[in-house]
Amino acid sequence: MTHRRKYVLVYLSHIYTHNVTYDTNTLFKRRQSGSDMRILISNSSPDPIYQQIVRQIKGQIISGELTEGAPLPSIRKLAHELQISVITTKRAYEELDREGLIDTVGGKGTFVASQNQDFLREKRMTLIEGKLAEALREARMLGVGHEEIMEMVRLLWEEEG
Amino acid sequence: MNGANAQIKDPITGGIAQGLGDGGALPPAIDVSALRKSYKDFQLDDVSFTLPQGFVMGLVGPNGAGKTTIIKLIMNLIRPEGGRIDLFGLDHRDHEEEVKARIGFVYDVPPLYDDVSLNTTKRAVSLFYEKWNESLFNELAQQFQLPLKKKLKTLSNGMQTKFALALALSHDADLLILDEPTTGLDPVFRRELLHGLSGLLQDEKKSILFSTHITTDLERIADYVTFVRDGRVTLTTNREELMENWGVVRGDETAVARIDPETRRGVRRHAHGVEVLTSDVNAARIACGGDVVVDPASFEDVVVLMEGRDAHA
Amino acid sequence: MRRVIQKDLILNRNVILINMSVFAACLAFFAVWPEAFSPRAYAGFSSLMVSFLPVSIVTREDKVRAMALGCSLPVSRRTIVKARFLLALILAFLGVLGAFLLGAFVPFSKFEVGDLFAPGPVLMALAGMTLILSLLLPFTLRFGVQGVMIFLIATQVLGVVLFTTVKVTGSVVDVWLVDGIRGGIARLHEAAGPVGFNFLLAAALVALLWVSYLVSARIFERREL
Repeated sequence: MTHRRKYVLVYLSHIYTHNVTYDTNTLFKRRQSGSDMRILISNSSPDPIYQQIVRQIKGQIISGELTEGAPLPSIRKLAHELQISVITTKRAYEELDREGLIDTVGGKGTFVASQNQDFLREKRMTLIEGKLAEALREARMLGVGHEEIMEMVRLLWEEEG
Repeated sequence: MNGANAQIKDPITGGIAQGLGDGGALPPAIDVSALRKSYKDFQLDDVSFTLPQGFVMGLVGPNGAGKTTIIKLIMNLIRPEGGRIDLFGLDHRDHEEEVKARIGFVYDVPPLYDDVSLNTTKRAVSLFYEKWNESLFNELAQQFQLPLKKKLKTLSNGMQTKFALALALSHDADLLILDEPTTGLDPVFRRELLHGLSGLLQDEKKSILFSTHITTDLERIADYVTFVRDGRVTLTTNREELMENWGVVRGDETAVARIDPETRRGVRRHAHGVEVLTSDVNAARIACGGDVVVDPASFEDVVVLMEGRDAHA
Repeated sequence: MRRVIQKDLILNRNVILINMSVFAACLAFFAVWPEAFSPRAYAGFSSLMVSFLPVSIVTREDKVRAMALGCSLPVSRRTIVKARFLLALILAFLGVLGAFLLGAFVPFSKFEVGDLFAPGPVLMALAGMTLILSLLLPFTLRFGVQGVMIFLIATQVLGVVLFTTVKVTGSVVDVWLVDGIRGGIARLHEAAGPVGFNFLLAAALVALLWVSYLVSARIFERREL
C-alpha cells in the first residue's frame, strides 16, 4: 500500500505538475496533515470492492483510528489512489453517509461525522468481546481452566492500571 | 426483442449521478441514441449509450464488433444513417468545432503523416488548440521517451500510439476518445496509462471513452461499460450495477435450469457442466441453492457469454 | 482557416520546396531552349505544372491516410475545403509569378520581360491554373490519389472518344465542334472587344472556381473516412 501510494505520487508529479488543472501540492498536503486512512483492496475477495471500503473505513472509525472531524480523501482521489472506478468509491461514501458515519460538506470535502457515543461504545464493546472470545477459544484448546484465566485477566488488569 | 439493451435502472445510479454534491447538472459527455450505419458487410444498428461527465466508459467487444465505427461516428468522420449524437449536450455536427476543441483522440491507426518528424506534426496539431500546453507535452514526451526528431514511420506501433496519446493529452481536453489505445503497448506502460487516465478524472468534468477488446485493461477503473457485438449494444450499464446484479452460475443442467429464463443472458455448455450468465444473480443463487457455484460477472464473462439480441428473442 | 493553411504548409514544407526547385530547373530549361514554347505556351505550360503542386498536397494527405487527422481537429470540413482552395490559389499564383520572373530574368532566356508580362500570356496562365484547380480539386478532395487518376484517365478516354468520333464521322463533328467553338469565341471577341472579352473570360474563370468550391465543399462534407 505504501509502495502503491508512492508510485501514484511519483507518477502524478511526473505527468501533471505542469497542468494547472491538477494540483499535486494538495495531494501532498492531504497526505501530510490529513487522515491516516489505510485501505487494502483484494481482487479475490468475495465482497464487492465498495463493501471492502465501507467495512475498512467503518472499522477504523469504530477502533478510533479515524476520529471525529478527520478529513477523508475526496471520492476521486481515493479512486485514483486505489486504482478503482470513481463510481465504486462514490457508492462506498454514499453507504457511509447513509449510516451517518461521514459527512460531506459541500465544497469543503468529506469528514468523519460526530459519532453517537453510546453507539460507538456499544460497537467497541462488541470488538472487545470478540477479542476475548478468541482468547478463550485459544485457552480451551490449551486446556487452561476458568480459574487460571480469571487470574491471568486480573494480573493483566493490574499491570495495565 | 425484450430489450436486452439494458438501461441503467439501479436506484444506486440515480443516487450516484447527483450524489454527494458532485456535478449532477452537467450534460452528459457523450449521449448517443439509436445510431444506425450500414456497410456492405457490416451493420451498426440502434446503438445507444450515455457517458456522464466525470467518468470513464469502456466500449468493449471483440474485434469487428463495431467499436471503431461508433468512434468514427462520434468524431464525425462518417455520417450516420439514423440517430443522434450529442457531446456535452451539443449536437456533434452543428457544433463541430466547439466540441472537437474539447476532445482528445487516439485512433486505432494514428492518422498522422508518417514521413515528417514528430516535432513537425506536433507543431501543426498544436495550432488548433487554444489550450495547448507545450510544457505538458514536453513532459509527456520525455516520460514516454518519444524521439521527437525522428519521423513517425521509424517508430514502433506502441511508440506511435504513445505519440498520439501525448498529443491527445496536451490540450486539456474534457473528453478523451481512445480507440484501442493499449494494443501494442507493454503491460507496464498499460498500467501507467490507466494510472494517468484515472489521475485525469481528479477533475470531475473530464470524461474518457475507451474502446478495447482486452477487457482486463478496464476492469477496475471503468465506471460505465458498453458491450458491443455484431454492431449492436448488448449491454450498457455502470460497473456497480454489473457487479451487484450480474453473475455467472456454473453447475449441471438440472440445477441451472432453475434460473428464471428472463434473466438468462447467455449459456455455454461444456463437457463438465453449464455456465449461465444471469442478470439477477441473487435470485439465481436462491433458485439454484447449493448445487451451483456463483461468481460475479467479469467484463470478459459478458463479452464471451452474452448473446446478441436476436439470439435472445 | 489560417490554421488549416499553416498546418498544410508545416506538414508539406519539404514537398513544396522540392517541387519548387524541380519546377524552377524545368522552366529555366524551357526559357533558355530556343525551339521550345512561345511566350503564351510557356505561360500555359508553367501554370499547368505549378497547379499540380497544391493538388499533390491533397493527394499526399490521402496517401498517408492522414485525412482523419484534419477532420478530427476542431475545424469544420467546409473550412478545410475553403482553406485548401485558398492555399491552392496562393501557391499556384506564386508559382506562376515565379515562372514568369524566371522566364524573364534567367540568364540566356529567349523571353523579354514584355513577352511574358503581357495580357495574352498572363490571361493564359491564369486560365490554365484556374482550369486545372477547379477541375482537379473536387476529384482529389473526394477520391484522393484515385481521384487524380480517375480524372486523368477520364480526360484521356474523352480525348480518344472525341478523336474517334471525329475520324468516324468525318468532318461533320470536326466542323461542328471545333469550328463551332472557334467561331463562338471569335464572335464573342468581336462583340465584346478585347477588353470586354478578357473581362468575360476572367468572370467565367471565377465562376468556374466558385462552382468547383461549392461542389468540393458539398462532396467533402459527405466523404467517409
